[in-house]
Amino acid sequence: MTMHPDPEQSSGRGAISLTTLHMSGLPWLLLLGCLGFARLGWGGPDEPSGSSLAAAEEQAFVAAVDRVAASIVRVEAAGASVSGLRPGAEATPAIGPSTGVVVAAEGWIVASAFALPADVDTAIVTLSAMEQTAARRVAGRVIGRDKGRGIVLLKVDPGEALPVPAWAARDTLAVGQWVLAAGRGWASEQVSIAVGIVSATNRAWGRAVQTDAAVSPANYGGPLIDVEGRVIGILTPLPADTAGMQQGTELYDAGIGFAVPIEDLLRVLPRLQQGESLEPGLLGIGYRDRDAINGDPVIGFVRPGGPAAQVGLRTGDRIVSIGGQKVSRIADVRHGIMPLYDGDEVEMVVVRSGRGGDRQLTLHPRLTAELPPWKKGIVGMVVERQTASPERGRPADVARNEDRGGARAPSPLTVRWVWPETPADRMGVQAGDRVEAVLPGDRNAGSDPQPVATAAELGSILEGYLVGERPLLRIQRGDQTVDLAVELATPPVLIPEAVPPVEAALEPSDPASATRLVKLQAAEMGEPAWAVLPRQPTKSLGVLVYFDEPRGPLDEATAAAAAAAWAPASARFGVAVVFVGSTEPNRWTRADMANVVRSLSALRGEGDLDRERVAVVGRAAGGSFAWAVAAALGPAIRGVGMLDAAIPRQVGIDLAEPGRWRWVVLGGQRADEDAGLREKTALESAGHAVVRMPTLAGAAAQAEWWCRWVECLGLL
Amino acid sequence: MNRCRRDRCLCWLVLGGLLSACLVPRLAMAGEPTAAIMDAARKVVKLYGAGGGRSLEAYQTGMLVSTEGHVLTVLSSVLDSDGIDCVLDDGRRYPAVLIAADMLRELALLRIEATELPAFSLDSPADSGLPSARVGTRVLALSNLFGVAVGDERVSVQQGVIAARIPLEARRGSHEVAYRGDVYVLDCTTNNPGSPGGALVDWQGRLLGMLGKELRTSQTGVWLNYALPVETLAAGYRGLLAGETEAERTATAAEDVDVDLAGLGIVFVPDLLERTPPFVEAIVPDSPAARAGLAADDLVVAVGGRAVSSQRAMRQAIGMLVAGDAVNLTVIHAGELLECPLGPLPEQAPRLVPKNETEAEKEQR
Repeated sequence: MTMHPDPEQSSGRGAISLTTLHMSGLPWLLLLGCLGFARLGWGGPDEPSGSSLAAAEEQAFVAAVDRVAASIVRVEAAGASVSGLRPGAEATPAIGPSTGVVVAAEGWIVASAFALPADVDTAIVTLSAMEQTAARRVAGRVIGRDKGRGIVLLKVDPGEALPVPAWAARDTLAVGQWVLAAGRGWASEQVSIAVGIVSATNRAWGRAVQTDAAVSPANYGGPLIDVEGRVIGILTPLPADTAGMQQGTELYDAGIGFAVPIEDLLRVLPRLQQGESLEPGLLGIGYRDRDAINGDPVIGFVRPGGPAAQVGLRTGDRIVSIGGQKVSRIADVRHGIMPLYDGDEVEMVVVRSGRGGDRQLTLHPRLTAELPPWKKGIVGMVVERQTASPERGRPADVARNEDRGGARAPSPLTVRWVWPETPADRMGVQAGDRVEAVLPGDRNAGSDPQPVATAAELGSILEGYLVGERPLLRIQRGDQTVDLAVELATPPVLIPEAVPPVEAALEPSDPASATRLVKLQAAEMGEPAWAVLPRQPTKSLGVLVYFDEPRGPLDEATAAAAAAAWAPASARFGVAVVFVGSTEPNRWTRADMANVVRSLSALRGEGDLDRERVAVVGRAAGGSFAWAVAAALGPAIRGVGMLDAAIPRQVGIDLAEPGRWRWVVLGGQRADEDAGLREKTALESAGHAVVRMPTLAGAAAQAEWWCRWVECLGLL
Repeated sequence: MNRCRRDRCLCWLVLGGLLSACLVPRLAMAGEPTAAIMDAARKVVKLYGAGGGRSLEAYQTGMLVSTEGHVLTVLSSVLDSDGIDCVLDDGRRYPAVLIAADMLRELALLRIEATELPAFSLDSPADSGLPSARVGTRVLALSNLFGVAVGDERVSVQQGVIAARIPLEARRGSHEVAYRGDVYVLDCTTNNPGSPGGALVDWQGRLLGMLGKELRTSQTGVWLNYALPVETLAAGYRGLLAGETEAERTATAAEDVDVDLAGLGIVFVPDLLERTPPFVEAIVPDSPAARAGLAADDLVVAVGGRAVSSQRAMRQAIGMLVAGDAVNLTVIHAGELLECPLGPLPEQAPRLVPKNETEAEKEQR
């Protein structure tokens, strides 16, 4: 759409502007064309009478689709796909007949991975009728896949040249221009039409054009075309990951459709034709900021052995440009990386702060399809928690800033206790030592020391090492500076019996007076939750949310009775223990999950929370629910405890990653049974730390163990 | 999904509201369907009846098809009521009586005590020599979706195009829908509570079809936005006037047949899944299948050119044939697509096996 109305024709503008809100110059062409052709007989008996503009548009839409129809084929998977049998078929469409587009005359056809999932290698392709040949079915073989874009390349043997459509250049696209989504999923003998506009030219992290035309399994794999019948891109479901979607099919017919620009596909067509499977390229970094869209593009961790680590990127580096494009938020970095493939090299410019001021570095990591597996390792020390701020009920924005790792005067990073029989213990790290910096040790020897100010920062840097590697800790002891090479070890399976109390001063003879019971109530929260927490903590609080078997909402008396057993441990280890009732009398539901989130934000108004020590635990159904809550809340939950509870099958176990690993407690009889042992093995091989809870008699002893474990969650 | 669907509806509701606010001739311009909407809306009624439970709405839409008060709508539980209320475009309210039901097309004919009403013609545009609707034709859908048009408010209007014209293959919950005739698939989201029975018209206001019930496609399970074409409505209406209710009911019987394929000489892998693919396990020697060259491990992909993705779909497709019809299978054999004509369907096989018969009983026969 490059035509624009001539100035001298603008007298008519007011008359049709209401109908042309979405359009550029097209209606002018059509209107003029229509007026011009009307006298020549266009608009005869086949032509709907009435408004000429509407009729002309309709004609143009149909004509545009006609122009590409011969290049549009029907695609059906041959045989069954196991990966296509997704649970919850009511919510997401099942695999069915879909569409493809000819991209090269010798029988190369692109289609959507929706119709041809990974375990399908043969397709039935119905070629459209041509001048000499009737419509016919041929077998298609899957040759290549673009996994990041959900596109599949098929090869058929057509026996004659197939018609290749005209392509539209991406840079000619304009938001608002008419587009048509076409397909043969409904019927092989006719091409379906859906009309819409271009909603955005660069969506889904740079991988797609967005349209409001109806896009569904019937036209996935089909073309998005302009009114001149040129192919803009190939329709395929892509997930709106910002809304937590996995597949993108959730959006069918919803006014949000995506098409992978044909230009991008033609660029990789030779590779796909060679049989390559193109994987999205990974860089291997995480960010310090938890806001994955607008957060600062400052590196939080670097995956050991990954592309970023190989070029020397480090925790704390601020990314300022990717591929020549300036970046100022995490979303910008993702825009730069997500369209790229495994093997692509990308230019990155970062700013690194050090003793000598800021330095700018230009690096060229080569992206990879897979990062080396990662397992949580520890050195064996627990550092002091942040000092609690004296005032309560701080304004929400202050709290939010801190939760995002924002400004808070760094207190010195002091070792509070050393875990017995760990590398830190063996190397002689002592309580009271102050950790100042980490030196790379045997890897990248000679690099600058990385200064550390917070436990989170030290944790992130250590997560950049693999078990068995030996970084150097630069430690200030009295007025001495010592460098200790401390090996990373596999996390311990049992927690120590003796852990120094966090709030030693709060151990009076009457523990109940050292704690208080608060009602947690927030906007949109169904039933209130309750929390028992130290009355005047000196350190930021650990958090333990406890789910019993579902018994309906909790009243104050029940909560107070439960709190009594927890009060001494809560005071001693500085832990806020939260009790949440279930909305329904006999099961935990999604509504309860929302209540947990709101309880936690209400709890923030009651005191400073230590975000490295947040755990959800439960017994039986409550334990399974705890796992589901942790999965939903992501890295905000560090520990999960399950007594006599199974990991819900529909949730499963994610692979551990730096910043996204868990301390998992398994306890009760089930932990000794086959099912429990299998879960333990699965969790460990996924890279998580697993702790066995011993059998303890009495609610108070169990409460003490849980709160002691919350303190142990700070183990580095 | 539901939320997306509804969000999109909302914007069309706004459009509907705007259009109804603009129903003033001086604003009607070339290229806008205002006049067509104004004309068609007079013939669309809102129906209120039984329901009202959490998942069952108590309202739908209907269309006036005679000047003497005949209202055509979809047959649904909404009409399962002693008192059906019918609200006309001008706000007048009448009790409606269900006078006949078409079980196959799922149509219902109601009657209200009123005369000199505006009414849709059920003549196909083609009958009067006008172009009929085709894929790409711009359409308007008038209905009381979500029941938002309250009191004497005019029904809501959505716009779109005819995306396809296909035979209906759909299910409600897990039940296959009996009707297999052609329907128009629309590119706008008409699949909403309250929409069924609404009018599909072109930009000249001519009736093209009736918005169908809330259904999902059998193949992928996506919600279907569709309308019954006006020819189907006309046939249904004629039958309803003639009182063919029972005759139509029997026409639904051939819905879910099971077919014994041994007569053709094909043994399939055990049908254990809901959509077990039709893989051949063995071929009976000297049978039609053997002569046609079928072999174990072949996958049947089409019957008579019609794609089948499961054993059940294949049995249904063969069940549609009568003895003597040519059986043509398309199979994938060693990665190649082959056409396998099996000759005419034998007289004695396939037999229609009652669905509730046990495997043991089959063995005995």
